[in-house]
Amino acid sequence: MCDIPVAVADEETVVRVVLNEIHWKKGKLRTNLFRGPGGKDEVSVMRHAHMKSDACKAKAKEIASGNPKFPYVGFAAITVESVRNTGSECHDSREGNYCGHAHISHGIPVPENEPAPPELTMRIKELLQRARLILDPAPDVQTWTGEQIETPPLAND
Amino acid sequence: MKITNSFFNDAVPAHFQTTYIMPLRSVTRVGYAFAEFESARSAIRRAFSQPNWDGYGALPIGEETKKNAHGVLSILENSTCAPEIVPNPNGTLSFEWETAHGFGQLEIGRTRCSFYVKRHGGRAITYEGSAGEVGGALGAYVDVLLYPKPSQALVLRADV
Repeated sequence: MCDIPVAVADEETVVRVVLNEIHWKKGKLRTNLFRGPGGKDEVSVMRHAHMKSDACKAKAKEIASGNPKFPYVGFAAITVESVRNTGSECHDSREGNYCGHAHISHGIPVPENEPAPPELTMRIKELLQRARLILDPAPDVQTWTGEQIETPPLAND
Repeated sequence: MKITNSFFNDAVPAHFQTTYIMPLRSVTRVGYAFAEFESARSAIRRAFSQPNWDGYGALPIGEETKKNAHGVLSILENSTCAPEIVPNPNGTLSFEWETAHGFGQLEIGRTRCSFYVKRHGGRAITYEGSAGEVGGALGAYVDVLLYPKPSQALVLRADV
């Protein structure tokens, strides 16, 4: 049973998995990080405040396992408050996913194979600027050994 | 500021008037590295053709989108610096420019495109239209706003 509160507080940090060369290239995060597949307005994130770093890393390696050419290298962390300040929303979406799964919803669906409107791409750029790239110093190790992800720090990691 | 056809037919705003006369299509503008555009072409060719390339269910980048992207890149080659090519999970390709002056993005899809360029602290210029009808003006805006040359005093001819 998932005992994480359904309501996502402003002060929570959510993380998005960063894959090398896809979401991170030439030392910086790319704008496709907060873009979802066509037909939707949302992207998946993990509620790090409740899942904690080790569980987030395990899920990240699972996501990355389907494409070994582009390995997991870390996380992009952003506070829910920052997400909401750009005009997007963050809400729990554990049903059909896993405990700790959430969505950042932009409210502007992106069509399949056609571009997003400029107002969305500008907002995503703003989200990117508010996100913090946290590289995993030991991505092949099972547990998280990098810097603290929570901003500001909450319970022990 | 949203670009429409009439925008280009009216007087160019004063703060955009230090722009340039676009060179002939066959001429690569001095300073725009051939190698960088070739690198961009290679990135388009190599853009993900398999589904779920990002682990989150991304759509493959289709051949029509790639063809449009190549066409637009050839047009941009005469007007501004080579962009970074970024694949998007909904199957489109983005051309991106980022400098100390601001950011620009041109997203290419199967039939449509969308664009914005914004200097830091300034208003965004946006455009949406057909991917097959992108003219040199978008590249001109990128060049003027993100790669300003202090001594140029030329006239923008726009034909989006």
